[in-house]
Amino acid sequence: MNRAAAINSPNPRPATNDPVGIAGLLIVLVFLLIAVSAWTGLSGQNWASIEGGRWEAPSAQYWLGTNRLGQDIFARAVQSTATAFETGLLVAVVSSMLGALLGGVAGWFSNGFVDELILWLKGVLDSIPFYLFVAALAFAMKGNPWAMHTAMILTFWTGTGRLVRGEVMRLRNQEFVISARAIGLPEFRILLRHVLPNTLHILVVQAALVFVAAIKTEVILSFLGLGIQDGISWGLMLAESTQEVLAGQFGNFIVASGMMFLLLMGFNMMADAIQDRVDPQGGMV
Amino acid sequence: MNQKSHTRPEPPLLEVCKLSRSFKTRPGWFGNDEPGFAALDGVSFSVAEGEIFGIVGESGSGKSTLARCILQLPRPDHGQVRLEGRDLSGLGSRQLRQARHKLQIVFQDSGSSLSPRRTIFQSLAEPLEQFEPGARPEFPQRCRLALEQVGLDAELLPRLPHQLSSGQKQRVALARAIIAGPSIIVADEVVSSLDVSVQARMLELISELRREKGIAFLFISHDLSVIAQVADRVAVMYRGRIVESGPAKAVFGKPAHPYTRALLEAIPDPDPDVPFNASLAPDIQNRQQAPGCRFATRCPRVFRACLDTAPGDTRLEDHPEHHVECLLYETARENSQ
Amino acid sequence: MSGPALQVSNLEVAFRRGGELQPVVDGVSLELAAGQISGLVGESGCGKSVTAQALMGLLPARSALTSATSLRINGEQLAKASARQWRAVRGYTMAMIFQEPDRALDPVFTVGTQIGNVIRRRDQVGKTAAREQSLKALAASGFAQPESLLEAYPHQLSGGMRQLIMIAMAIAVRPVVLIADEPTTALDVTTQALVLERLTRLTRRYNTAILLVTHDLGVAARCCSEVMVMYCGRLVEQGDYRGLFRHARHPYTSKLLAAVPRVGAEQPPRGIAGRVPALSEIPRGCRFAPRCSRADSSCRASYPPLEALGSGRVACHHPL
Repeated sequence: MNRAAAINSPNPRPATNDPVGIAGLLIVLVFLLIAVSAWTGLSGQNWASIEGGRWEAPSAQYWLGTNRLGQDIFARAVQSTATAFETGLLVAVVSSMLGALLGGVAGWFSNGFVDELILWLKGVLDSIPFYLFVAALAFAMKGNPWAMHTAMILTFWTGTGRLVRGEVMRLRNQEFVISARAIGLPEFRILLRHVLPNTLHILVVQAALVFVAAIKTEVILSFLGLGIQDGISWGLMLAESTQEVLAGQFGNFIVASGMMFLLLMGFNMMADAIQDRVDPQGGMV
Repeated sequence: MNQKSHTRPEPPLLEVCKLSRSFKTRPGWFGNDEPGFAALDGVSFSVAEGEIFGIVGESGSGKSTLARCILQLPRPDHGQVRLEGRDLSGLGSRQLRQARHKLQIVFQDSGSSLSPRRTIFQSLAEPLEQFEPGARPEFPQRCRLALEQVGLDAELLPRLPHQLSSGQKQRVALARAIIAGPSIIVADEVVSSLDVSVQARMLELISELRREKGIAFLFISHDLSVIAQVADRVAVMYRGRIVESGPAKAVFGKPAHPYTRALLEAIPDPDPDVPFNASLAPDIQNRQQAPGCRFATRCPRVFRACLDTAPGDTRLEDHPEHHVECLLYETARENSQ
Repeated sequence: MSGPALQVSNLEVAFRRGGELQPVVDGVSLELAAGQISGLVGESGCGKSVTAQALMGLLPARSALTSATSLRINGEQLAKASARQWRAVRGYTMAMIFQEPDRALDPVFTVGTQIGNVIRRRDQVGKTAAREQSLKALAASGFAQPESLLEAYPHQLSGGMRQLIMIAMAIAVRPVVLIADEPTTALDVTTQALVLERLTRLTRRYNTAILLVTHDLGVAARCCSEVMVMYCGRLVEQGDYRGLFRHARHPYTSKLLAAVPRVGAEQPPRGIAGRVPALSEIPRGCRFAPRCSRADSSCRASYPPLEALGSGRVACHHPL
């Protein structure tokens, strides 16, 4: 018998067990552990106290050395991880909820007054330069430490909102929604029970993207002095390092930028894997 | 008019009277606004208790709009829908919700007719929650019974729609419609997405539900051969109007309207010796409403008067309930008188 | 040229599902004769569309493993063809039309541009010559005023018109083999009739071999000289349509014919009991055995090969 020849080039890629996704998940878990250790008080509590000398080299006491003021870089990095997670989670969760609500309502009442209003609001928010918005808000909120978070939530929901609106508009005309109406279910119940649960895949992916964006933004804003006010952040560490790098001291710079890079990369790898999972069109033709 | 053919004293189960609905087309980018087109333009018919009334038409005939307008989703612009003598278009939203358990709908697409993240049990129990909230302890039993009635096994209850075959999903959709005890079900292309081997059994099931539970069906389909299997009476729709109606035997056996004839001739029968004719030009989907007959531009038997005179309803001689809207017959009648 | 326009032996397609291979098409061998429409009929999930795509080399390697001992198109062996060789075949010797013409036509270009591109790629001609030929192809596809169509965008046309334009594009390519995957399923009956008539005309005019994939036996009856019935990834019966309709040999073919609803039929259509087995639970012997009233132990033990019987071929231990 002839051996069967492959018509398309046989170049199989393992379909399950996405190794990149797993690696991403592991990285994120390590960072989460670090953040948890800071929240539970296991480590990083001495981030503000000035204990050591200026620019001490890594040692058993100061694992990553000290900064210009003699503060423990390791403790500061651990505490910064907690800050990053706090910001990322808070902004991702609240902005996704806001996006789901406003997008859902806009999509449900699309081409009506409410939809117009929400779209107008989204248009306005999208057209304000972001950093100007944060500065203005920080000024308006009189240096409130939550000004940065508020600004991010107010601007980041628009992306989620737009996607949810589109999906709700699509779902609204699906036959199971019309059947639900035919049974006589109240509109709000249909929205809650039959429409919004089916936008979950969008919310999961969007929340992951917002999480990453929020951490990046937090670092940049803190670096610029608009972000974290009475805490520590990789951004503040980087701001310190601008003075240190000139003196040939790279501790703060390497630790802060390296940790941020690793976490964001890990998270992106994980988010890609999640997206492949929840996207029903991902696999077969 | 069609609906006057009923002489019984009590009102028919479902009576649709001069139903119209038009949609605004979106304004074009360059100001070339099209006028709104009438998806339904004065449609009247009635369905008796336990009757299967077939509505047949091609895409754009308005048959799906008709299904939705009957359920008041959306409400029609003009005309009445009377269910057991009660005008649905006059009801407020709360009363309408209550009236709905008598009138259910089942759709074509087995993929989207069930809520994707809810189990079969949740989907089946939903109408019960709505109409009989007090009977909650009986729900599992009632759902099991409903599944049995459509020939499915109760073990499907905890499953999600995507775990079912399309035939099973359509049966569940039907079970969901009958569970509240409706007197009529609007079935919009319910077998169109099914394979013939499954389709035939679904059609049997519909006939059986009518026979055993006395449920009437408004059976809407583009497929004449399917309609011919189940319907007692049929109406042929073309661009928002009923152009021919009557008992299925009369309409399919002695089609009067040129459109009905063209449709019947274009059905590909599996028997290669059955004649087949592809004479009808494709619909150019011109939404412009000409004053005359709307089929005139495609009609093989068009004559001058068709272009500017709208045909009226004419009763045919072969059967007292066989009606057609075509000038060919109006003139024939006038000439003979 | 002699010999079939397309010939494939032992076509096998398996989908990769979670590290496992699930066979979807299993040892299908068929030939398409020039100037003829051959029907590939079967119910959803029987593998007919996958077969069609495999014959065009369209199944992505990352999700499907496709193989055949031989695949000759117009005499050229393509069983081991590279992606580049495939590109030289598609749009020249082979063309395909799909169920939904909306997806095959690009919404941002006019009909004229899209047909023109096909012609310019095939014949290496300039814009004016391509325009001329586009008009001819549209006229041949049955459009009375092709000039007005050239400037139209796909969304301005009805589904039926779009499908006729796909056929015009196929005519412009003048392929040796045209694969039509459920080309009329989304259309109204009156448009369907027209599309079938155009396809028949195409075979006469350019001697094209057409593989018409359809679930509708009526459609096959209208234009196919020969049909192949597929069940569960295998061909179960093959023969000239008229003979098959008058005397189906395979119990599945016979039951399928009895399930078709027909206007004016004396008997109501009869469904087929049971269900198509899932890919993961395909029976060892004859795949139709669990639903077949004639099945016995031999049917459950071994798969019957597709063997000549009368004028056609049938894969059944107990043919009718």
